[in-house]
Amino acid sequence: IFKISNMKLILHNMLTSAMIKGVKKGYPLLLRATKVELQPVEFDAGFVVHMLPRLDWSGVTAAVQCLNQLDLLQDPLPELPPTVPDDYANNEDFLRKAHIALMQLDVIEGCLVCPETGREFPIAKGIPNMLINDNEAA
Amino acid sequence: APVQPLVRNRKQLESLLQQVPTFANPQSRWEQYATPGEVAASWLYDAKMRWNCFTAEQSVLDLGCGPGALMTGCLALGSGYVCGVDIDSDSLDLCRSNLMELFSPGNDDDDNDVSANWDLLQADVTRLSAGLVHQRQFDVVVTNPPFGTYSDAKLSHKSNSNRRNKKAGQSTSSKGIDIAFLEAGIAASCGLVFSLHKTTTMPFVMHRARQACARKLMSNDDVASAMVEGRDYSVSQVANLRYNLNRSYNHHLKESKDIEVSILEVAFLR
Repeated sequence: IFKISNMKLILHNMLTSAMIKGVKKGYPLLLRATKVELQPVEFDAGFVVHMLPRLDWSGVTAAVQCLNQLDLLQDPLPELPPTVPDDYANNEDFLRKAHIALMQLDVIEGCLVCPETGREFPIAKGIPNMLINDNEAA
Repeated sequence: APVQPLVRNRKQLESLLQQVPTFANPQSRWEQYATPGEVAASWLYDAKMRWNCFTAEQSVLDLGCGPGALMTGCLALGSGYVCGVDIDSDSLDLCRSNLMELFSPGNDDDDNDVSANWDLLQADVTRLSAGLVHQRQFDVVVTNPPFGTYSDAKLSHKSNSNRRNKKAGQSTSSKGIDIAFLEAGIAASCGLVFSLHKTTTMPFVMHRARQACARKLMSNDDVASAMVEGRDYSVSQVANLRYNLNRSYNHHLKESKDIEVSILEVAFLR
C-alpha cells in the first residue's frame, strides 16, 4: 500500500557535483538531512541483487554514516559492511540491510553538499535540486 | 514478494494514464508538452511486450518527466524503481502530487499490495551526465524531450523567461535540446532507451543516436572499447503516432494542431 515518497539513498548514490567548474569528483555528496523517515517498503531481493553492481557502495556507507551521526532516527540504521560481500546474491541478511539503506530511508528535508566546494543543493519535499547557475558550470 | 503490476492489459494502462492531470499553464520557455495518456500507454505497453521491460527488478529513468504520465505508466507496469528528472519546480510539484494521488490506497480496486518506488530530481537534463557518478545505471530510459524548435532569437523576445532561464542555469537556445536529452539517456542506460521525436527529424535523430552509441563505453570500467551496431546495440524507429498539441499551448498556434511523432528505440544488446 502506497504512501508519500521522498529522496531515497539509491538516488543520493548516483548524484555528484561534478557539473560544477573546478570540481574533480564531487562524490559522494555529504548528506545534511534535517528530516528523515523510515518507510516500510516491501523487501525485494531481486531488485537489490540486480541494482547493486551499478551502485557505488562507498556512497551508501558514507550516506548511512552521515545519517547516523545526525541522529535523526529513533534507532540507528543497521551497520553495513565496508565492501559488498562476495556472496551478496545469496546473502539475505546483507540484502535486507542494503534494501533498508537504499529504499526505505526517506530524506524529506535538508541538503546535499559538494565535498570539494561546500556548495549546497537543497532537498525540499523530498526532491533534491541539483540546478546550478551558468557561471558555475564546467 | 515481488511488486504486482497495477494494470494487466493495454486498456487498463490507457485508462489509468488518461487520468493523469496535466499542465494547467504549459510554460513555453521549457517547451512543455505533456505526453497524452493514450500515446504514453501505447508506447510503454508495446515496449513491455517487445522486451519484457519494466519488471520488478528494473530501474527506469524518465528525462523531462513533466506531470508524470510516463513515470506513472512505468510504475503501473511493475517497474522496481522509477526516477523522474525535470528542470521546472511547478512540473515536479504536479508530478509529485499526481504520483501520490494515483498510487494511494483508495485507488487499488483489487486490494493487492501495490508498492511503487520512485524519486524525483530537479536538474537540467543537458547537464545530467556530468552530475551522475557512473554511466549505465538504469535498465530503461524513457524520454519525451522538448522538440528543440526555438532559436536564440525567438527566445530572447520573452525577456522574463530569459531571466528565469539564466537563473535556473539553462542555456537560452533550445535548438538541439532533443538530441541532448537523447544523448543523456544513452549514457544513463545499460539496456534500453525510448525517446519521442517529430517524425520529420527521425533520420537525423537516428544518425545522432548511432554516433552516441558508438562513443559509449562498453562498461563502467576505464578501458573504453568501441561498440558495434548490430552486435552491441541497435537503433530503430519503432512506432509512428499522431500527437495533438492542444489549444492551451498557444503562444504561436491559433488552434489545435496534430503533429506526427515517432518513437526511437535504442537497445544495448550485450
